[in-house]
Amino acid sequence: MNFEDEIRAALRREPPPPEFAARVVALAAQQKKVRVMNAWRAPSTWALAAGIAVAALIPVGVVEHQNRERQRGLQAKAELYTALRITRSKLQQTKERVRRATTRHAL
Amino acid sequence: MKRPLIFTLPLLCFRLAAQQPPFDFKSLDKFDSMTEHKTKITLDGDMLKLAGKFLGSDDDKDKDVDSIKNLVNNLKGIYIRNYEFDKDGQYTQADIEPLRAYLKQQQWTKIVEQQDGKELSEVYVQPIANEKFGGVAIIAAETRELTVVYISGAMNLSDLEKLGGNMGIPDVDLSDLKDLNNLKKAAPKKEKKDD
Repeated sequence: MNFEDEIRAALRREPPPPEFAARVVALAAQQKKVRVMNAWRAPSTWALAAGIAVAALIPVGVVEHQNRERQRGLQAKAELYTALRITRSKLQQTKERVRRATTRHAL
Repeated sequence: MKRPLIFTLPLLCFRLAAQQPPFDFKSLDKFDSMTEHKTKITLDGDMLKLAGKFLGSDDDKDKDVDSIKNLVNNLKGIYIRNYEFDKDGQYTQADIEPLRAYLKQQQWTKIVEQQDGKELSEVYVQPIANEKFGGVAIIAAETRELTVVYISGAMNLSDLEKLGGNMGIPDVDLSDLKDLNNLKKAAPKKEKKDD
């Protein structure tokens, strides 16, 4: 056998073993699944998701807190006005009584 | 840094005393179930500060809102109890006695006492230096109505006069109630600086 025949024999086309194509496809599919699952299991992914969620919730919480404080403040203000009104009303009443009594004594 | 107990203890006691409510208004809570017509207002220092922040906001167009703010800034607490009863004899003078005793114990001065039959009005102030009050208390008792007002904090009657006609508060001339000579006599000799 000369050199040319050896090369020709080495490079000759041979059919793939049976189920070769099926095995390749199955392996490729398995690797793809593993890659996808790894991405979701990565801590950095969860950290990023948590960060986004917190960042989205902070403004909502701040606004909610501000609304609550505003409601409390307005309620306190309303009570303050009522308290001052009652105070002044009772002082007015007292003054009227004193005036009536003074007038009676003068007569 | 550790502080010796001898320094910490008085400070703690002082803080506890400062946080104590001025008068136990729970003694009047028994009237809650006797009437549906009642007004109970408790505004402590924190709530007054919060209310003060909202004075002048929204619909407060009054030019004298600053007067109210100045007054409120000096107050430590406002406590109002107002009960309107459906029939006579729902309360007795004994019900008010604990408050009177408290005011007497705290050396408040009664500047007005007016009784006309079953109607009674009493105004107390807590004299402090510089013709100022440390607080004002009012007991107004009628046949079917009982009102107790307790305002704690530095003020004078002119502060209340300034409020006349503002924010729906009735206009009142309080000059007749001024009796600063009595206050001067009753004021403690040792002058204290206002906080």
